[in-house]
Amino acid sequence: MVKSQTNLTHHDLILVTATPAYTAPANPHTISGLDQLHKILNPERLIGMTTPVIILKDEIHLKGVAVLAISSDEIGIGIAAQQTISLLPLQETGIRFARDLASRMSASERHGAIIFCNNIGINHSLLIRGLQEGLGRAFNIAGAINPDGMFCQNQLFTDSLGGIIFGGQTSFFSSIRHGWQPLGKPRIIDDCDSNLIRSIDGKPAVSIYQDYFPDSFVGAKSVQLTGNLGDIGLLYPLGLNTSRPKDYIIKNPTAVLPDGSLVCQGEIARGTEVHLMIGDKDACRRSAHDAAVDIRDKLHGKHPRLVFIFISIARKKLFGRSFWQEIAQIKDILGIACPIFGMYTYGEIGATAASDLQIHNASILVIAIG
Amino acid sequence: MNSIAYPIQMDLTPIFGIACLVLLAGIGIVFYFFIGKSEELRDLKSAYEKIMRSFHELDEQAKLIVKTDLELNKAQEELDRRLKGLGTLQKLARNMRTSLDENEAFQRISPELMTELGFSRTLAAISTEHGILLSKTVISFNQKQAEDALRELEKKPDILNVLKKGQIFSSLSSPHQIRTTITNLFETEHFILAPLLTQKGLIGFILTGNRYNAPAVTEGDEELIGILASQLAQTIENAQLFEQVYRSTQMLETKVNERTKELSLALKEVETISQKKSEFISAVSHELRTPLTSIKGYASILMTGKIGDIPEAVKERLGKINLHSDNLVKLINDLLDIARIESGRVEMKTALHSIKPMLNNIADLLTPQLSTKDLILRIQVQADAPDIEFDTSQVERVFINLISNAIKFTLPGGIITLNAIPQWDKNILLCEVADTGIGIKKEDVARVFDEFYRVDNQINMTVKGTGLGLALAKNIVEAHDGRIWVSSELGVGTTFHFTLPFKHINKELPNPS
Repeated sequence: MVKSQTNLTHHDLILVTATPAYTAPANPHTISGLDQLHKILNPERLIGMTTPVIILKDEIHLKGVAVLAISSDEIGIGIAAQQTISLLPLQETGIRFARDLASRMSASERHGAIIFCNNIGINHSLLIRGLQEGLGRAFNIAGAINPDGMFCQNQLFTDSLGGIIFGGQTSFFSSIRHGWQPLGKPRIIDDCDSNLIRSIDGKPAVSIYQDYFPDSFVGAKSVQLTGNLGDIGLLYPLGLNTSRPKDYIIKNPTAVLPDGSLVCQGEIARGTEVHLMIGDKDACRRSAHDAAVDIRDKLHGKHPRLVFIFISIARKKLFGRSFWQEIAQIKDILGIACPIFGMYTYGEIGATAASDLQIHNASILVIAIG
Repeated sequence: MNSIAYPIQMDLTPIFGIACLVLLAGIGIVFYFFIGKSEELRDLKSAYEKIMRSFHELDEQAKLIVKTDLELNKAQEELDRRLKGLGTLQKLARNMRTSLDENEAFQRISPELMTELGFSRTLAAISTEHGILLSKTVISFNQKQAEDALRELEKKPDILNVLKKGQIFSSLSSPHQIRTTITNLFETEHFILAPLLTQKGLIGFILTGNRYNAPAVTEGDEELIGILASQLAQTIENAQLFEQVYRSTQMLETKVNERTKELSLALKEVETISQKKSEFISAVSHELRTPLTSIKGYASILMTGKIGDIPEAVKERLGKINLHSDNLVKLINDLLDIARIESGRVEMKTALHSIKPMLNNIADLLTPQLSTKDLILRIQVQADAPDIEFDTSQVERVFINLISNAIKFTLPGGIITLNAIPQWDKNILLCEVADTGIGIKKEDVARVFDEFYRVDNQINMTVKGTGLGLALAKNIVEAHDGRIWVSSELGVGTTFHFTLPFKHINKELPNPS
């Protein structure tokens, strides 16, 4: 289908995204599918990641495979990938990976990079720190974190880091927003370690959820409570206060340890004020609107050539059947005539006005290639 | 020199007093400030406690908000699930409805649609007349596992009896023992087992669910699968009814074909017999006519006296021979005509004619007979009667036959009326010969057109006839694509009606078949 649309014999980049059923490592069709893609589209580079939901310009798919082909004399593209990241020192891995990615084009040409990571349980802050060291703190970096597989050329990776660097006669802008609202009294994280929150207000971190959702913890003693918080963690994330008033970085706890500690994505600082957050659909819709307006402003009226949308799976949970509304809103604002390629994610990498590059949860990230 | 030191004697009391006063004042001031501050502190503490109370109250309210929000989210999720389920159910129902084949209906329950409903495993089975369960839809079960489960279920009358009552079993609401039995039977931890019920009763079941580590089924799921089961049962019932109707139609068609074949054969036989009869009559008539002509000829010669004088008595007898010979010749001619018309050997020589001149001619021809019986003949041809196509000699015979009958059965002084009425809406000319004669009995009306049939009445006993005139008239009218019938009232009169089409007249005589 892509071949019939582009009618080209060669492509600079093929970006693939697929729902997990199509990319299970045991599925023999995954690799043969990648081989087929190589045979038909003859790409110089192929990269991609699994997603629970595929976002395209006019369609949203809960099951399937999506392929984006890029061929341009103006846009410079480079890709890199690193496997088994959890076994390596993360910050150094980030630095090495960033340098590898940067080496694909000269410093003057580079505009931004999209990073994919398919391990949700590691301390991504270290990776990001490494990436910033390798690419420069002012460099535009955005990305997504999802479990399951990652495609690189004709291989399927797990526990890996991948990325695309964009450069040449183009521009790269990203904007990330969330729209969740604080609820109840503020609490203080008084004991934490890296991406682990041990205690809040002198009690095991999980107590914040036990206080608000006593029914969900009936029959489970906090010391025995392990696993994840399921839907509660997605729908009621933690909001970490930033230096700006009423500005929060959202974290979905990914796991609860036996001692009641909460595992998050990205580092958390001791003494940070934390709130339980609640999803307000209007505010979330407004945040998607704001992200799109921010991109439009950054483009200074130019039409983007390509738009990527990464949306947290928590927002799909929040919006239920009307989850497409956010995407429709972005399309309305950016007046999309260009392709849209996106996915639902378990973590979004982006920088806000108030904070440095971070791992966000429950957020919407819009990237425009101008 | 001895010096004497004198201690300076000073009175310190006033200083001490002053110091004490100052101290007391200081203490008083400190005490005053302390009291003031402590009141302030008390106020501050009270304000702090108030704020903290509000804070806690707000947090408690937040808990309520969270609780409500969680319930709302769950409700929304359930609603979404139900809506999605209903959409899928609609797709499934539409798929099944379009099938009129039982097996196909089961095949339309696809793994994709069942997954959309949230179930990875499905087993649907139908029961034979002998109570044996046959698997029809098998999703995520291997065939042997499915068959084993069905054989086991056949031995569980407690479950089957409840299913017969239309009850649904599920891992959500069934009693523990039954839940365990069904889980073990089908190796499906979260399940819904719904009966397929038709007017005949329980015809099968559908079991759907998930193996292990899957979300539990909900009341909504129970309802959806209940609806699916009833849709499926309805489809199966329709398919079975269709099959029944189809089979009946097939049988009926076969029977109709057989009967048609039989009737065709019988008809062919009748035709053959009729043909043979006509040929026989024709042959016999021919054979009779030749010697009759001779008899009549010899009788005429004898009567002329050319061969020699004959006594009066002989002459009288010869006259009778002549008369009877004429009657016989007429009979034979009529028979021959009927045979010819029936066998299709007579061609109607049709041409455009006006009916009125023909009727006038007939009236002239029959005037002697009418006069003899003192009968009045009225000819009433409607002014707009058009010229029509007919064989004038044959239609003349029809009129002569009918008028002769009227003369025969009308008592002196009676009236015979000939009517010719165009009926434009039917494109026909209606001709009528009405008399004021003795009439025909009801039971005879239906048979007057039969060959050789003669009504049993006083006149027929005295006046001889062949019983072929009306049969011949009928044949001629029908050869013109017309219709002939009679209406009569005993003692009042009889009217013969026949029609002649305006335009279309078959040139060829119709085949008797």
